Amino acid sequence: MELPVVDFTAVYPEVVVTLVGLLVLAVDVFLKPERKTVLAVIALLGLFLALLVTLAYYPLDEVAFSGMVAADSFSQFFKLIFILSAAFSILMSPRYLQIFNINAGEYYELIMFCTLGMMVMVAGNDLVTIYIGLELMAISIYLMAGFQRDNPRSSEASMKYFLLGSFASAILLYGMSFFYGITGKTNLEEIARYLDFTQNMLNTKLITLSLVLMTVAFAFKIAAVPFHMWTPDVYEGAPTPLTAFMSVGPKVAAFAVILRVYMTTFHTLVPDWTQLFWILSVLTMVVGNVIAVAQQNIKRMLAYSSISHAGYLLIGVISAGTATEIKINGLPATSLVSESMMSVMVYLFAYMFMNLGAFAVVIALAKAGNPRELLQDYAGLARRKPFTAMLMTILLLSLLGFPGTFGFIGKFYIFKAAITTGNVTIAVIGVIMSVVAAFYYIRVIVYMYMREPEGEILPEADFASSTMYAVITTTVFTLLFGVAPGFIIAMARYSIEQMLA
Amino acid sequence: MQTVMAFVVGALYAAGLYLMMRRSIFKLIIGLALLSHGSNLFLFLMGYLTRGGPPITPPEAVRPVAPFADPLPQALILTAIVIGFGVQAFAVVLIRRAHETLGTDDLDKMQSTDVD
Amino acid sequence: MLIAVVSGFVFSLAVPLLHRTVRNVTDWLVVLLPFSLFIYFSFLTQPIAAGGVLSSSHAWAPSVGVNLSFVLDGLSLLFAILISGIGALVFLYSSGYFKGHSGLGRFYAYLLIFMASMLGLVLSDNVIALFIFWELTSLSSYLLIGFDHERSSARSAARQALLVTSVGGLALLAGLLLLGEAGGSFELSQLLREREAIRSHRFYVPIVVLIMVAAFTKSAQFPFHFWLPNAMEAPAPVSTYLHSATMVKAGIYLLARLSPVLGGARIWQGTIVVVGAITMLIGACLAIKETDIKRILAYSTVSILGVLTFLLGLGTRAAVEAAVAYLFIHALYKAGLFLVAGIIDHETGIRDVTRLSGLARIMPVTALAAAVAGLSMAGLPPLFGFIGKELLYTATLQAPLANSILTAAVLLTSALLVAVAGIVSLGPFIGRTMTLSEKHGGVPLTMTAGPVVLAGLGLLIGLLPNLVAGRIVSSAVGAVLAQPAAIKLALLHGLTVQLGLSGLTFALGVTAYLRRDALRRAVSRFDLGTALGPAKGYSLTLDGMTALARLQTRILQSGHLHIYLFIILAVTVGLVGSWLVRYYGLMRLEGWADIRFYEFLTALVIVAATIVIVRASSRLFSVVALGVVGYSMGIIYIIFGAPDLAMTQFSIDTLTVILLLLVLYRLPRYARYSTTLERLRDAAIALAVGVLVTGLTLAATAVPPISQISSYFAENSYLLAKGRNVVNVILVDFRAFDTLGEITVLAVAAIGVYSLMKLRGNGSDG
Repeated sequence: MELPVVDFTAVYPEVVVTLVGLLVLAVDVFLKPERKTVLAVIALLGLFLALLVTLAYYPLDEVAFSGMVAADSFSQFFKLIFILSAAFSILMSPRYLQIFNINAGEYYELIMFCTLGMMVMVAGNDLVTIYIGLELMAISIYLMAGFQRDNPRSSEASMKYFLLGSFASAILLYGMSFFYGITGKTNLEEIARYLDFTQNMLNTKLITLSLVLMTVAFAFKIAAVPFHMWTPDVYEGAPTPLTAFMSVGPKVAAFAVILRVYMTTFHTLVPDWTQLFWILSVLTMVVGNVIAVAQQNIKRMLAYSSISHAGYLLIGVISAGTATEIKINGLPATSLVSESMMSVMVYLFAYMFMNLGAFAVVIALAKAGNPRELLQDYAGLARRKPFTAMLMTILLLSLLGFPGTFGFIGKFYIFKAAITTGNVTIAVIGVIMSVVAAFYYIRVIVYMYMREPEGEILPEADFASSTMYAVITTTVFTLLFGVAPGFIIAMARYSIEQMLA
Repeated sequence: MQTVMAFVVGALYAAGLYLMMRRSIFKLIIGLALLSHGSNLFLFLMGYLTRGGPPITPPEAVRPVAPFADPLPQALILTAIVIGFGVQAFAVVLIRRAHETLGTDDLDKMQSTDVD
Repeated sequence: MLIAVVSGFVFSLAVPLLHRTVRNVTDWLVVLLPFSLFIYFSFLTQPIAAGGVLSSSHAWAPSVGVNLSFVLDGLSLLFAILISGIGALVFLYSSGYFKGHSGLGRFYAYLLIFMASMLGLVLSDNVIALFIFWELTSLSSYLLIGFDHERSSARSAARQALLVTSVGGLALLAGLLLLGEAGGSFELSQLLREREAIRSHRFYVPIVVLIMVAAFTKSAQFPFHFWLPNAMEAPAPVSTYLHSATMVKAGIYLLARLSPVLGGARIWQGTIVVVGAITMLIGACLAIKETDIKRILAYSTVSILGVLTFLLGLGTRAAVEAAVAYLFIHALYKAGLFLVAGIIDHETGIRDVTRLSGLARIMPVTALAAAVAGLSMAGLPPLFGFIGKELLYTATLQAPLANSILTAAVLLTSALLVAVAGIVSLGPFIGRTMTLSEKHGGVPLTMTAGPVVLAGLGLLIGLLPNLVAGRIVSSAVGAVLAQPAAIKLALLHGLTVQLGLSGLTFALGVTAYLRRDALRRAVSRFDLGTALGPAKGYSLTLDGMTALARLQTRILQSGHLHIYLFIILAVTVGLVGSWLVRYYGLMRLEGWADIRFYEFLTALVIVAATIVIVRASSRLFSVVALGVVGYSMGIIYIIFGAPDLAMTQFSIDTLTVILLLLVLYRLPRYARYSTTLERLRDAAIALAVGVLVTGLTLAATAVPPISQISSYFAENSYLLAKGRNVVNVILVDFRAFDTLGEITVLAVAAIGVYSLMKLRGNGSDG
């Protein structure tokens, strides 16, 4: 280890996001409450810049800041997801904030800092760095969840999330400390080396314990059952653009960390953690999908659906784990490993578009004094707003994994990975649970197309509104990558090969 | 001494969690504080207790004189204490606001988010 | 071939727009597309019959392993001709049926999507592409069933159809993925070569089960048959096209397509034959029971689909021959009858056969077409249906197993279907002329064209069977058997057992028709279907799922924070504890000798203060005790060589206490809300965590220190960073990035505090 050479190329996107966050903070002070939309524009431009910077330096492959930051194409892949999801969430926000009379400029700052936290998390090559990134992300979200001041649910959501979240952080910290106590290391690569060469069985067993603790904390972040209870309450209570953001960002970030840490660092402990994830995955798919069936509130239904998606994603993680133990003609099956990891990454990318899109539709339909989040509010939508209904249909079908959409590509690869690595049982459970999922996604479509509209006939949504831009863009990408996913797949494959090399 | 401290860590965790499960929201703040004390102490233990010897290089030397305490956990705990304080302050304000908005301090009354 | 498939999709995009601008031309344009496809495929019968196979492959997403590869062999060609030919007639019919309907453009678009998907389905060589088209047919059929959705029954029918078929779709995906894994390829032509490997693969049974579920749901086989009659809510052109001629036969296509790969084994043959036979009988019985003309036709379709299924299950040459011929025959007469039913419904608004009579005088052309189609359905010479029936009996008589039972079942079914044919194609047209409430302007030519052409073809092929035998039927049979077949069809074979059976069938059928009302009552009385049948199962499943969801919500999602925490803790303790128990014996209770009095005292103070906090009944008291804990922690830091930590701890602790005291009186008083039992429960779990944490700590501290990193820092902090305090150097130099992050966390928390205060201010204003 050297004294860190300050190497900013590795963290340009982070730097840009931080500076823009600070700029928003500064400008906020001078703005009148009714002109806060300017902040959204600044934040969007900043995110666009961050996107350009990330792409301009693609692909990177370096370790910076004395081993704490891994600036590789793997983290760049996820940074793209974070930047895009932040941008879409900001696009959805102005209208919602206006309708529900939330005029806090901090809103945009916090989205920027939260994005920063997630970027630090995926780039973290050291347990402590990951922890700090996670805290940054989490605190920003605790705060934003409570922004809707005229809604008691919002405060309540914020508090519940905060308390359970701090508890999860405490467990994570405990697990990490435990780790340090045994190995004397926090750097991921050094830990991996230690685990590869240690002969001390006792220590390996102890490390397994800390692994269990850390898994609990990550399970909380990805909202895996039984660590999911906060999700529906918080998703429903929080302002919807934020719900969209936090149903995607933290989950994606946690999965990115799981992939990096579990696949590269804890790869000698595969039997232990695949076993853990197996249980979590099955519980998550079953509970998430079945409860979603009973929901009458679309936001809550989407909350449970996003829980169940974590279950499918875990199937991919498990496959990647088992793949490391498969030998073909005595050689490790590297292609199976990378295909399985790729399935998770592609699914996450797809999940980002379709989930954000679905929430954006919920926002587009909200109006002052009536959030219109109930299933009945969607009755006859196809008559009232045929275009919006069509977009929502596409997004729901994608969530369901219907062919021709990006969601199908993700699900296809996850199930394929599970089958090729011999995890047939869980793949079959996944398929059965997708059938249950079909029930509640399709119900929304039935409401939109086949129920008589209740209430007055409204004109088609204001296309000019930024929320509709978000809906349209996410839908277009959902379809585009559903038909031609090659680009994303190639990117994911490349970054995995680079990371595992 | 490590053994004794292990029991202290356990006591702090147990008390902290017990308080967090209470329905009165003020107890949550205290519980949270105890929990973070527990985590810090645990982290400290992981660096092995060494009496005396702070990890400071004396004048005219180029490295601290052994035995000295493990510096890395200390650095990490410093980070943790500071973050813990930030979280604590935030918790106080958040809970105060929740109390105001919802008009109750009974957590069981805070379940408006439930359908059914 | 790519063009053939894609043109439908492209055209469907343009149609709604076209319909709005040039309405009259659109009606003809949409007919032109399927018609030209029909011509195209008809010209291909010659090279295919000569044993050729057309294939074309287009890389779609090479990295994905999914190609748009198409193969046209005899089986695909048979389907392609039916899809495009009947498609052309249905489009023509729709223009009359929906004349003046504002949504006609949309309807055309859905129908075109359906047609293109169906073509894609039967032409695909890649199984993933096949699956995609399969799902697209489900989706477009959903849109089509729900097209006219004034009635709530139409809605639930559409949902039911979509749910049942999407269950099948997912089973298909799983089955095809397994198949691809077992055979090492997603191309059907490759899989055919790997048949031995696949049959002996350990996935063989799951593959067969999944594929069968897919085929049975799509083709409405028992116990999934209930969705098809309910889907009769759809407009007539849709019922004709999807629910008799094409989509419901996709399952049959799948079985036929995969039988060279999967067929032959006992599980395949046995299951398919039994399911097919049950479906055949149930369908025929239920058809007798109904009075709604479309539902009667739907159940008779179910019955025929059962026939086709069990023939494919038998898999003998004669059976496949019969299946292919019957598929063709059925498409012709059933599509015709559905179109006739549509005309009746359209003109009279009545679908109840007991109320319809004497329509022959009002719509003579339709009546004639219906009669010819009905005769084909009844299997009378010289119609194509007769040839089919002969082949059917040949197949059952030669069946390798249970041939007498099968023959008897077919006899019963056929007799019932003769009666059904009478009920739908004769009953409404004869007898007393009904008076129509509205002024009747005659059936438009566009609508009568379909039934007439289809009925005419049935007659033509019946007279000249070798028009299609060599070109279409032979090559299709060859494709299913995976070996060349040359088939000659003839109307009469002389005095054979089959002829006798046909005669018997007809006699029984006529008797049944004459006594149809008594028969209907009898079947209704023995009908257990509504009470115990699969349709009931479907609704019970839905209700059950909702109930289960409610129950889970109540248990897991109480909304009570402490319950959430409790569950999370319990699971964590369970997980970690079970691992700890597995590695029992890790804990070391050592170092008791190494305790100094003041250290022990400090530890004791912390524990005592903690107990005070837990037991305290006033807020002030607990805040003070919290301060004591913090200061004691600081003392421990001092004792064990961490002065920096101690200093930070003291200052932060002071700040915390001040902060708490400041807001103390603005926060609620302590109150006891929980019952003693709840307290005990929480205390138990908290203690469990405490014990666990202690155990883990003991285990971790038992490991000898191996902290090379830290010694590295100690070695180098002065040399490299010119700092004497190693902790500080670590924070600001070696781990500067983390420290930066930490500061950001603090900043965000500060923003949080600020904005919460500010929001509160705003709140009190408004």
